Amino acid sequence: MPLPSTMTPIATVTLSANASAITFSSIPQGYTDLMLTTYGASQATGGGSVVLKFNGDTGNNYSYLYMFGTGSGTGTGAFANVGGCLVNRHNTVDGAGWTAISNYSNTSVTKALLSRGSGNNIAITLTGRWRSTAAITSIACSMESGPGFAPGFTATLYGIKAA
Amino acid sequence: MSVTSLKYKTKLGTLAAPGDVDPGAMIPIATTLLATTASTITFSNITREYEHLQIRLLGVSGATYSEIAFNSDFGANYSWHQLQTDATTITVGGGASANQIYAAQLGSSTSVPSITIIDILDYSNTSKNKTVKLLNAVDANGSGFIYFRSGAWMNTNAISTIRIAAQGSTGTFASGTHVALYGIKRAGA
Repeated sequence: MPLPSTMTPIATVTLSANASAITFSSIPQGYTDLMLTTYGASQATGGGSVVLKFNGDTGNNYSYLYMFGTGSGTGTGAFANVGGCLVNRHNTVDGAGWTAISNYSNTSVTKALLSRGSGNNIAITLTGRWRSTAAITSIACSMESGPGFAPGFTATLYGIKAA
Repeated sequence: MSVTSLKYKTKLGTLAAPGDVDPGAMIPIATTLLATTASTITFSNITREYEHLQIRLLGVSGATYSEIAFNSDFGANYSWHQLQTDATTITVGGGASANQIYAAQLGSSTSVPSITIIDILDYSNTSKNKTVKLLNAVDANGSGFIYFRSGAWMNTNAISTIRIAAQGSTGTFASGTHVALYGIKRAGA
């Protein structure tokens, strides 16, 4: 029986029209980590980072911390007890990023994220946590501000399997 | 019944037999999931068939940090530099002629684990000193840190052993710490 690749694309969404959300559901549990890549632009207004929510949890059970640099300065901060984790970076011009979700199916640990993003004139690193030990079975993505994602925006979810 | 074999393509090898499966560019080499505490985690007998190595670490510990060293060399042959934040201030730092590379700040419990991705580049090239880049973070719900770090081992030997130690091996990784080592292949291999 053929074995799967270590880093396996689970699903890719490329938008053909404006959208306020992208959702990956029924995520298989056979991997160790997940990796989410996004690239593309936000709609004509808004943008920012991508907000992740897991398993339909819309409560204030998330937190995140960031560090960024622009052409003129740096910034850092942290948010506690918020309604989602911010990752990656996009704006009305473009943007890209990846997010690693460690041990997503391990029910002994809360879920930790690590992300790098780049948009127009910004490079950003973020970390976040979902304070739940539940295995992640769905990921909902929305834009930090504004109506959402522009046509052509692409999000791919990969599974990474350890030895 | 047909027989399918898994054959990893290497720098020197190719898929040959009918039914061979190419598992992709990222190959799982070894995994450690601690059921009890340990002061060090070691991967040994690492073969030279990949281009790069990657370590993905979910760290839990009573210790505050971990360090990484290669081929049991604990001499003053390492250096590292970093950009870091504690969510309030962004600072820089580094170390020269160090005995190990400062690797990962560790989380305090399975409720607040750290997450780290370490890339070890061209690890088997005997014409180059070895370079490391890593991203390490902990989110503690309103506080925490992010480290963006580089490191070097001033040695051209191929890396065959990697030791990750908790706080200079005087601390401990706690149960639940998960470390996975991968090999990354290059195109055309």
